[in-house]
Amino acid sequence: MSEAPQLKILITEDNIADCLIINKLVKDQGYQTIVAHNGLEAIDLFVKEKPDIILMDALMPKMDGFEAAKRIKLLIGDDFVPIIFLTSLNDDVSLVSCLEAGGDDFLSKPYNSIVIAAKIQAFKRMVILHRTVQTQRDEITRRNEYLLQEQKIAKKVFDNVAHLGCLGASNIKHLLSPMSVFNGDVLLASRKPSGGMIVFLGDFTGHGLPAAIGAMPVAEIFYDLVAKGFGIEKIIYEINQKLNTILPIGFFCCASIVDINYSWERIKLWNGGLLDILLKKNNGSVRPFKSLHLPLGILSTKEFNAECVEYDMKVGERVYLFSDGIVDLKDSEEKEFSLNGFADYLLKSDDSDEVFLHILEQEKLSFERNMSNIDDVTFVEIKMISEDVISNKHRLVQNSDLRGARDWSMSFEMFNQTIRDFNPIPLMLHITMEVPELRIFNNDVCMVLSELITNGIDHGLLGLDSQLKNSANGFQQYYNLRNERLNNLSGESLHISLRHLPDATGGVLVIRVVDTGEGFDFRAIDLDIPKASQMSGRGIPLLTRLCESIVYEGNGNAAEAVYRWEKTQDNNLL
Amino acid sequence: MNFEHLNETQINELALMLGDEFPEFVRTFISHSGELISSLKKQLYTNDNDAFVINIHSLKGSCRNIGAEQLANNCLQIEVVARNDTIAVIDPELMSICEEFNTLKVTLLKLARI
Repeated sequence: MSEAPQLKILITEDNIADCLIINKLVKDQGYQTIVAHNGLEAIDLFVKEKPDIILMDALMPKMDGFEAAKRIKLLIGDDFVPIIFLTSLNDDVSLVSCLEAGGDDFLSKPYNSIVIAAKIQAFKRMVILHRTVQTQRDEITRRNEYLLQEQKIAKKVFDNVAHLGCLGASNIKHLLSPMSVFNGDVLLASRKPSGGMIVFLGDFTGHGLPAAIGAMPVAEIFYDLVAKGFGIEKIIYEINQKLNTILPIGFFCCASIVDINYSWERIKLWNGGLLDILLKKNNGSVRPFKSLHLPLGILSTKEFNAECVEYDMKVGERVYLFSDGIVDLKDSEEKEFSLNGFADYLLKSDDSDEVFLHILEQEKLSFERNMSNIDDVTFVEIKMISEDVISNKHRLVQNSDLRGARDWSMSFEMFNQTIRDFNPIPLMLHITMEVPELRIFNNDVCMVLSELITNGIDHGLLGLDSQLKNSANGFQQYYNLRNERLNNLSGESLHISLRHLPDATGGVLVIRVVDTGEGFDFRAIDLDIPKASQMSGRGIPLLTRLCESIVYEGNGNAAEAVYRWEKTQDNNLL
Repeated sequence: MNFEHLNETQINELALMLGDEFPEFVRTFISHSGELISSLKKQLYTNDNDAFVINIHSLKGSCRNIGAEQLANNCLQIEVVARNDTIAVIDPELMSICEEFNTLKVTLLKLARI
């Protein structure tokens, strides 16, 4: 304590003889003293000298100690300046008056030097402790403000990376309720260049910044790969690999991922460690999809399985994804929110607005109860819509300088192993997107490319019958056969050539795919718009709408599509 | 030394604590207490009850502090009367206080070797 600055003590005493004694006693203890002879002087000296402790006589002329103490306490504010009453009054009423005036202790006459020393020493410790606490409090407040400021800036960057993508689409409803600036949940949605969309809901271990930071690479990979036309499995694979590399042991990301295909009215789902994904069907039933995988970021690429479940999803049907925070919610009867309960609710309700209100209400109730352990709550509903509903304005329009490749051709040939292991569509799409004006037609080009290439492989090289895909069981059979035949491929190749040339109104992209297979009866494929019940066979009719011409040659193992684009007003703005 | 009117231990402790300042203290006590007694007489004359209570209380307190118990007790008796708003019955000459104060003065001056 000897290093602490000397404390200043204000003595207020009207009796000069008493004042001499107490002043001497206090000075002998090593404190600095200042003296006032009545209440008014005491207030004046308090303001001017800012003493650390006040000794205050009770009865004084002009203004007594009670009134002076009250006024000084008002001036003290947040600080702690103890007031010790000097008094020979010893009846209870007088002592209560001292306390009511804001007094912290009493010293009674006759003064005892030992008692005075002990009391001042005790208050000195309290004053120092109070100051330390205040300094630390101010320091914490400053640091907290600084941290919040930093978080706000970081959050801006974060939001730019992990943006909401196409979550504003008319067929998506979502609820994101972060419990802090940074959220351990991540919700991403992006339209596929080939039509349809992929929605990713992730829930990282923990809360706040450490949990949120993992969302940045996830979002980057997700948006990058979806835009480039990669399939859902590849995207899940890449995200897992990235998280496995960067996350410390014990940290991971539970995730539900849904790939929605409007033209086939089918969904592909992958659930690693999250609550069941629920599908509310048009017939009123609810189909749950359990987690079949470990969360992302745990398994190495070798052990990891990105295999998805495929399922029919008709127009108007809705799929629900949840983060784990939702189970922390309690309803009005204090029962915990259960997924089964929610599924029951879904069974009863056909109104999706009502479903959302139900969840919001429970969230509000939980929040009002100020549940400290509540997790971030994220909830999303995606409705299957028919392809036509999606307007061009949602298409990916990438910024472009006007320089680019406009007159060129290229060819790419794949052999057995590459045909089996490599998806050429992103690469081909990447090259065609070097034509700046074509970027807005990304979707169309991707669809044409994938149809021709898929047909070349599936029907040309593997001899698969697309009629198989007309039934739900057939789908599985189709994919089993496909895998089997891909593994046994030998001596085959697939040749893709692309050529782009500008013309007066826009440009022409010619896509030619030639396979070494035995060919297939392309004439058997109905070129008219298929009946709604047909699951497959939609590909080629769709192409005839998109392309200026589509020609199959020979046995059907050479296909050439001519895609013509025209400059529109929008295009000139690019 | 005649300690009839002073608590011996207390005044010795005070003298020890004040050291060189003790004679100055005694002078201050005597002059300030004399002033207080004059004020008290005036206040009896003007019937100023509040000021009388403050002053008699102050005098009593300083007497206690130096161990002048007899004088402190004489003050207390009068303070109690004054607090009951019956200032009129108090001896206007304050004989009990003045006589005791004079005796105390002699003792204190001797003690301080003044």
